[in-house]
Amino acid sequence: MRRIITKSMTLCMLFVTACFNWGNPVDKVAPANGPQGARVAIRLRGENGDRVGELFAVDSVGVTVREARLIRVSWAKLAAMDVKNMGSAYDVGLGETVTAEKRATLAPLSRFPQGLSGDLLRSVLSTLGQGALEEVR
Amino acid sequence: MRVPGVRPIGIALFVLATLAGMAGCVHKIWVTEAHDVSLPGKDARRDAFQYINSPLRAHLTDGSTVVFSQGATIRGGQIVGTGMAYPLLDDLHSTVRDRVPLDSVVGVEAFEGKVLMAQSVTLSIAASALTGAATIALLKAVFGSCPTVYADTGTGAVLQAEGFSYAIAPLLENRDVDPLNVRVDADDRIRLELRNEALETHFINHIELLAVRHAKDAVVIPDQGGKLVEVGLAAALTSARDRSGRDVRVELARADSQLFASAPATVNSAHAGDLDDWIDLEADDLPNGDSVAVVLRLRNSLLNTVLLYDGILGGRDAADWMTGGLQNIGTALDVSRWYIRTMGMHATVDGVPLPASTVREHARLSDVGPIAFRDVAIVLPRSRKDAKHVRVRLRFVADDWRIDRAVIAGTVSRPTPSTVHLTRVVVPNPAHGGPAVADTAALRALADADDRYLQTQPGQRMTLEFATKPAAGDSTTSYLIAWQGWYREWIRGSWLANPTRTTAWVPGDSAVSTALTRWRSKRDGLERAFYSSRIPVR
Repeated sequence: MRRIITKSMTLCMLFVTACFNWGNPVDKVAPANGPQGARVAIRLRGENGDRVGELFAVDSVGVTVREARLIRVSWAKLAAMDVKNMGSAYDVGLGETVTAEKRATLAPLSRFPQGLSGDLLRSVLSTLGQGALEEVR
Repeated sequence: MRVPGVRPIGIALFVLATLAGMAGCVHKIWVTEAHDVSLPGKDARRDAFQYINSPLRAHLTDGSTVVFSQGATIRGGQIVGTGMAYPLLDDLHSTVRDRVPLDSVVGVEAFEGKVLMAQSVTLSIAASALTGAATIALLKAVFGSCPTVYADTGTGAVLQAEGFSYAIAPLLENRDVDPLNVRVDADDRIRLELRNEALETHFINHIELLAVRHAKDAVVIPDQGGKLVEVGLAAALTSARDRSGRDVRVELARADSQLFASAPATVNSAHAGDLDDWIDLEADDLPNGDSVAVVLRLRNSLLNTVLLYDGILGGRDAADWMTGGLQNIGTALDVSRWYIRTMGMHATVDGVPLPASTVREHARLSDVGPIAFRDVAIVLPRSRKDAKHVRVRLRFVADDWRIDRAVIAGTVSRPTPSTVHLTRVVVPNPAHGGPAVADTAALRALADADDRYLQTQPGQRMTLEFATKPAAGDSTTSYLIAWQGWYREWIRGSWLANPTRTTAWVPGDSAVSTALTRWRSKRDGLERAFYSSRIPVR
């Protein structure tokens, strides 16, 4: 019993002195600590399951995500998107119309904020061993 | 009396909460924001200097990336700092790079970590607000389900409403509209008391009042979609029979605490594949019109609570469910679709075709929670314009509802409400003592439906003040609270110590059937424990 009380009191003192941090500090956000884009879960219209992958690019056409393969999902086809470890300002909600401002908010979280097209896209596809970008419209 | 299995976590919470309150522990809420960084143009002076002290990523023309996790300086046409260079699509092999010429850079972004001051202060006040009296109550608390508001109606604080029931994850954030029975004070203000009386953390995004002036013989209540409806000339029910054949008109005739509950035989025979009870309502001599409103005063039983506590949260993976499963869009959608299909109240009208073969109802009322009775209308079409007779079936999972009143109104219109904004939030008993103080951080958090939330902990209460306009004498003004948010259920020690399931929880009929079986076995004891174990507020 004495050991239990001692352990409990130790834990309590830790609680009192440590206090807490909530949310997602910058060291928990993947794009801030490496070359990778944010981890995202996307839901496509007409599909019942999520697709989960890395956010490669965000542009006026849609989002480019690497799951098993590199796919580009048009905004019209995207039902919703959740960005891991980021607040709701970075999510695309059901029924939300994605504005240019929202795209600008999301782009820095991708692997290629500068966009993915031309030579860079060809290099990426070549590195991934993928013949062409898979378009989901 | 002590609820079995709650004691270990209760003791821990008692000690922790008390010490937290004594220490005035400061909590911080962090967010991270990403920003593009403007680079100096080619014509900029070479001695232009910009220091960025947050993590920085530079994207180069060859597709590689240099990460300056400690920040960097942009000067002399270069980004200078301790960088790690990653080749295209290679996250594992990096080389140290201390400078990057700007002419090789396509773009740069910085990641800024911020402490949300308002929310942090609110959380700190909330954490410190737990008192000894409150923490003692934690020992046996099973009371749960969302924030509550009370109003002083002249006879003390009276429970008015509970908000966003069963919105147990951020993706399930919900806006509720609840009628209030309040009086305007002499200074033209309405005062409500917002309480957290449960072992939950509440995240409240927005609160406002809706005011509607209307004739004295009408009432204004929310419909099944949360839109306001003005109803009058309610007809007495000519028939009201439940699935077991009972005549339940007496139970439904008036708001008198004589409640309808499903017949024991119906509850006992419910099983996966046939879970439902129903009530068939009929009314005659309706006034002309093309629609009717079934006006209800009701709340949920604790069946939903059993489904949540013993089902979804009944396994040792409860924490994963709360932090992972329900924050996944797909899971949240799946749970939400199943919930909408199965739970709530489903209404159909005789003689009105359904819009599609896959649709099973003309309207659905969401669950409202087990604590406060809510006045609500289900607006439905008539079989033909000016039809004098209507027959409505209300279908629901057996024993899911307690219904105090049900009438059918033939006069239905849509009023235009005016908004009464929140003007002041007062903490009556600040954690550090002294007189009541205005909490401007809480006011800002509740002012708009945005990214700022008021976060409250068990035992916390505050007074919400709304400045109204003087009412005209020839009409009545009804007030309704519109509020939005979600809540996180605290994981009880008993759920971890004595899990009710060891396999993954799967939404579906069998989950409800299992909950019904548990509910039948412990209904009376659970109701007594639930309604007597609210967390005292200070």
